[in-house]
Amino acid sequence: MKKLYFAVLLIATLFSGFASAEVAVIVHPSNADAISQADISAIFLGKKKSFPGGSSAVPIVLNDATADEFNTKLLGKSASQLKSYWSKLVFTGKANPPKSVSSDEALSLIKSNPNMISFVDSANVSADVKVVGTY
Amino acid sequence: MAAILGATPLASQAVDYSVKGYASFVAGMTTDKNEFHSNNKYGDGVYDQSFDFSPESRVGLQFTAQITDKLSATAQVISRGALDWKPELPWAYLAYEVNDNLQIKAGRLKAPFYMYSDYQDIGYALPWISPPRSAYVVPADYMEGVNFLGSFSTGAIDHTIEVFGGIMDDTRDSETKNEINVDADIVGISWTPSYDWLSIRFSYTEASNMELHTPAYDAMVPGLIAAEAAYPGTVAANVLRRASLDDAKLIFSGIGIKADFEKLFIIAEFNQMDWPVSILSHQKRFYATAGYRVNDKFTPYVTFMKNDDNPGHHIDLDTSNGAPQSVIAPLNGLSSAFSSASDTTAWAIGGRYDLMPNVALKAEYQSQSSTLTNNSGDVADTLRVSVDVLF
Repeated sequence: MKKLYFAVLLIATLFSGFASAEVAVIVHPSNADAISQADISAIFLGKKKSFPGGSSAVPIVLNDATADEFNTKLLGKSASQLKSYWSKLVFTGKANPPKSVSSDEALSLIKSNPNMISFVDSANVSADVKVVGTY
Repeated sequence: MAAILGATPLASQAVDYSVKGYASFVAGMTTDKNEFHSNNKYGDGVYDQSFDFSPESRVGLQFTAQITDKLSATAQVISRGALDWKPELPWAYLAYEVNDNLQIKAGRLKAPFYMYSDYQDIGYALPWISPPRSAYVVPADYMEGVNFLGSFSTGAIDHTIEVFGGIMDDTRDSETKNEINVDADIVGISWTPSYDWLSIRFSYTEASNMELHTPAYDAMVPGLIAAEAAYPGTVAANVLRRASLDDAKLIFSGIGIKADFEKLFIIAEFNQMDWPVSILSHQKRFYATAGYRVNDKFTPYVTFMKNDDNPGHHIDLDTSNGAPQSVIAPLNGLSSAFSSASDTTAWAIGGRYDLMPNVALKAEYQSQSSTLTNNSGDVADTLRVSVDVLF
């Protein structure tokens, strides 16, 4: 029993170790809005379609492990919960999920599109995008 | 990659097509001698004591063409085991985004009677294998019409208002139950305020000028008309009016609640169906589910269900009105067939396991007890398992 407990603890520690990367939420450098965590969550869940300043906001998500990090920390949802959330909206014609791209593609989209918002591993942030928050 | 970027609004003006799908493979059996009618609409989806895969299994495909930023066309095809896998078209509509707060859909749509009506078939999006059976009983919901979906916020509360209206023309095509044809004008409104962990949905739907046809009823109509002609001014005439399923009116109202405390969540709905004139039963249906997210993968739940159905405007005729027994007996038979009272309670225990990001496994055991077997024939102990996928 003690061994089992130890094994569980070890696995839990390992997994939390993997999950310690930081997520940087990024926008175009010209975007001067103060964007709160609540705004980010609302934009990525399709509840808000504009930045606090009023211009339209198009979220872009990643297709790698950083997305899981972002979903847990900012949206408070597991991958399955998020799939479930979007499937309700998609199959009832209410909204579509954000487009999913690689980290490099996200960086290049953000630097050339003032209305987009995305996120990358904070280690990968480039100079031509603006970080609005690190989580 | 080109397709992904092509879909972003900035990239191009070309029409962007997408195909998405879902499937639920459900198998189950009853553990007593009764049958379990898994759905009141798809009447042949019946479980008995042998393990069966067809009653609730289904596959859906949705085709969407994004014509402009604001205009899209969507069609969804569903194929179900309960209907011999014959494809149905529950959704075929144009959707127009007027602005960030208003969407209009027009075409073939589903009437959203219940909190989970819209995505009842998307097993993956549900915590259960199916919404609690005795609570979801409306046997018709396909309509042609319009749906306005509005959203706005007041402080920390987000509101959604849905208004819909159209013509409902739907058939319950069944070999094991009465075939029902419904033709009605339908209008409805729902308001869903939600605050962080709490969401409440109030709904009101009215179906009027309804023509409800079942073979048994249609066969009796000439007799009823003859009875009214032969014994004018008697109670028979009154009963005829109440028994008439032409020009019937249904008032459906409900409250749904979702409360989510991260690990623990509670879902409850109370719905009632009233028939202001007809002899059909007044139905009050309630359920509550409590679920617990043990971890990212495993979510067990318990559900409690209660039905309280009262007879409608039922009148027992006797010969004191001058009509002979030969006329009265079938009238009374018809009246009781359509207007049964029932008081059913049921509970279920089940769980969901998220195997992969697009695959969920579920199992549920349900047990029902009733003071009177009602029309839905759903008084049985049933064990079911399912695999729900998105693709």
